[in-house]
Amino acid sequence: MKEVKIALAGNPNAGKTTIFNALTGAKQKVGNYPGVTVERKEGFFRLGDLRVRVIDLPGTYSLTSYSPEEVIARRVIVEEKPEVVVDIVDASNLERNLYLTMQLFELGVPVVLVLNMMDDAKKKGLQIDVKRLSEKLGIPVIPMVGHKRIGLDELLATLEKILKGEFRPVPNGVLFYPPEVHREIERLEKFIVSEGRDLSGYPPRWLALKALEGDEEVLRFLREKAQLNGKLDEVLAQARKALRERLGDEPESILAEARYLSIQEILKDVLKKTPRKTLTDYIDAVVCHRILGIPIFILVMTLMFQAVYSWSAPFMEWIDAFFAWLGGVVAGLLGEGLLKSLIVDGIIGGVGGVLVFLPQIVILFFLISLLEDSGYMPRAAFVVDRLLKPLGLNGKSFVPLLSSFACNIPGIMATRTIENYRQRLLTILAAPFMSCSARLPIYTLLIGAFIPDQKIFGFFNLKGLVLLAIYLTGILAGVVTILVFKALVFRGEPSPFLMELPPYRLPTLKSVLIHMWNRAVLYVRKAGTVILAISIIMWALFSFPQNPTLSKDYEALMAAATSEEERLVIANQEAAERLSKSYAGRFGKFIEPVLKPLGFDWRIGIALTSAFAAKEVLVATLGQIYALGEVGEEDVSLLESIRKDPVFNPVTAIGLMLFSLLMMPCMATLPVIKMETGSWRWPALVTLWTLSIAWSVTFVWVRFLGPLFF
Amino acid sequence: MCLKDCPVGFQGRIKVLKGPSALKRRLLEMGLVPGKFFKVVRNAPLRDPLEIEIMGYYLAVRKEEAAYVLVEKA
Repeated sequence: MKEVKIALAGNPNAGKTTIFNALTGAKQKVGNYPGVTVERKEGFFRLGDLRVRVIDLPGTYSLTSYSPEEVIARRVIVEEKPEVVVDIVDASNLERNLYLTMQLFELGVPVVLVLNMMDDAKKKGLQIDVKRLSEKLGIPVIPMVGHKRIGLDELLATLEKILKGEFRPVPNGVLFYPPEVHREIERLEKFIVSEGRDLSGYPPRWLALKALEGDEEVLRFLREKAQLNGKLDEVLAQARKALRERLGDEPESILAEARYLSIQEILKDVLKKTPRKTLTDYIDAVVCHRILGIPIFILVMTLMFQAVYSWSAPFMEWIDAFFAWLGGVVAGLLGEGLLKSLIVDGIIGGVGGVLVFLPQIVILFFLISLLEDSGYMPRAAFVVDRLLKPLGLNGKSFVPLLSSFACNIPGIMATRTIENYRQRLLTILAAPFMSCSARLPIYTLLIGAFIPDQKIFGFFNLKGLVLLAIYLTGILAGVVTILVFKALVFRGEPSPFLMELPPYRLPTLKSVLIHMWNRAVLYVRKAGTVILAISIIMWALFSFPQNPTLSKDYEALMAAATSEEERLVIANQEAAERLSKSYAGRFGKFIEPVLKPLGFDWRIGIALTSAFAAKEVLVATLGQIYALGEVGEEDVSLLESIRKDPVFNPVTAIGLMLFSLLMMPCMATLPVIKMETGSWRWPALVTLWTLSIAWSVTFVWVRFLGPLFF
Repeated sequence: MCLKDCPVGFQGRIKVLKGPSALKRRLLEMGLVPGKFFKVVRNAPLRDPLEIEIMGYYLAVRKEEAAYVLVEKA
């Protein structure tokens, strides 16, 4: 079967994804473009005897080189040469949406225009003469309502004709630049054609236009690839100067205005308006209200957090229980030995450890899709933007940071909703400091053991205050991290915050489910494998060497033991000694000198090492070290053991809480950071940074602050 | 006058864009073209950003960026 390629282009919020889903169904592949964290979405569908590959370009307002999304979009159009670009525009917002269309026209590629959301346009009181528009532009224009599949057949029929070569939808010359601009473009174009070496299929006219606009990417391309070194700057400076003198403005402004003037000309006898108030106006009057806006925001966020935090709990327990059961069954089949330990503790435990995060990811993305597709998300960002602005972030960072309190993994994955790469990275760097639910058992244990049940000012409970202080310390560490990295690494101009508030729409179940599914698959495929590998390594570190020299002959003691209780004590002692002699145990001892200034000894070193597997494991490891067998955070014997231990006092206990809060996130989070940033550099940086912060804060607490309080 | 100082309900036209060229380009992309009619719809609950209606759609603009947009009353 012959394969052909088409691309979908369009503004964010124009309903591109809905049409992509309608075309391809569930046959989608989601990944990243190489080297950048822009999402690449592809799908397939059959059209007669053709196999059509659809590339869903990132949603952009323009095709300049200011964001990686825009660079990717135009690179795909020029370099991958789709047969046709389907430009999806929001019919209820035609004028601004056509700005991108004009830039596609400039590229000189075949375009089919889809007027999506015709129903919204009608509700808004807009009348669009589709036939007239198509005649004027010289390309097919197809009215659609994507989520109802209205117009889909017409789109398919048109595509079929084009892909079978019946006609080529090349737009008419509808773009009018001022004559002075025209002249300069022509002159530059001639220069590029005659002097340029390799243009890699980029249309010279477009290169001239973009060079005139001062497009960094294109200028670099012309200098390096087309080898137009010295002379280019001269020619360009001349052209820009000529325009500035004659038209009194920068070329980029002149061109942008020319595009909008052309659009006005096109729409003159095409679009008729009798503006009406829509549902969106009424909803926004409440949702963005001066007084009601914030309570509504808090309510939505509370519900969302509650959902991720508690609805996921039973599913996570089922997954845990299933893998525990599976491990038990397999263990029964294999009998004691290294192979059993590898398969049960290493592999089955590892796979379970990957999948246990799925409920939170799936639930969070279900809700995020609902909020995004319905249109509430930009309103939420609008309402809280002011709070995040001093950090150099915008309102869109709120949801990822909030979700991180449930679990850092879905929180970091949720940063995809932040368009700006710099702001996305800053949010990812701060997320690990948000105290996830897995850290809570550590606090429960240590607060339970060391913080007296005492009232402060009559009604604050000291235990509760300490817990609150821990969470606030995490937030503070996140804020400091953002400020430091903003100042050090991400200097330069902040990206302007201009956010469209699209009309409210009813989300469709299909879109929501597809979005959820894509995220889950991405996590399992991209991060899951690495997490599994790390967890097997962790298993090996805790299980080897297999036969260390033990201080006592436990087998003989066991044989001599008379009661079941005695045997249990001996078994626990043996487990404790084996743990301390494993590679991980030796590592815990090895790092003791670093932990000494914090008042920690080698046993805490081992516990912290194990917390890298998953933070809550710290509690179980302490239990094992005190030779208590398997105990939980509220186990009385564990509470008593650590209370008796001279290493622990209220100051070191809080120190340990601080350290486990602030140290690097668990091993499952690091591959997710890699997945979302596109490079191992960032998880490496997160590890170094969090460890330094954890050490310094704990040091200051244990040495200086703590003794003032306790 | 400046878009930043326009009260809710203000109706006017964009006059001139100032500021660095990256910002200017972004403002133009989003439809803040000299001569265009716009309306200030509301302020966010925390007084920033503000929401305007332009070209028949709604756009949130921070006061910081709105300071670069000169407007005139229509």
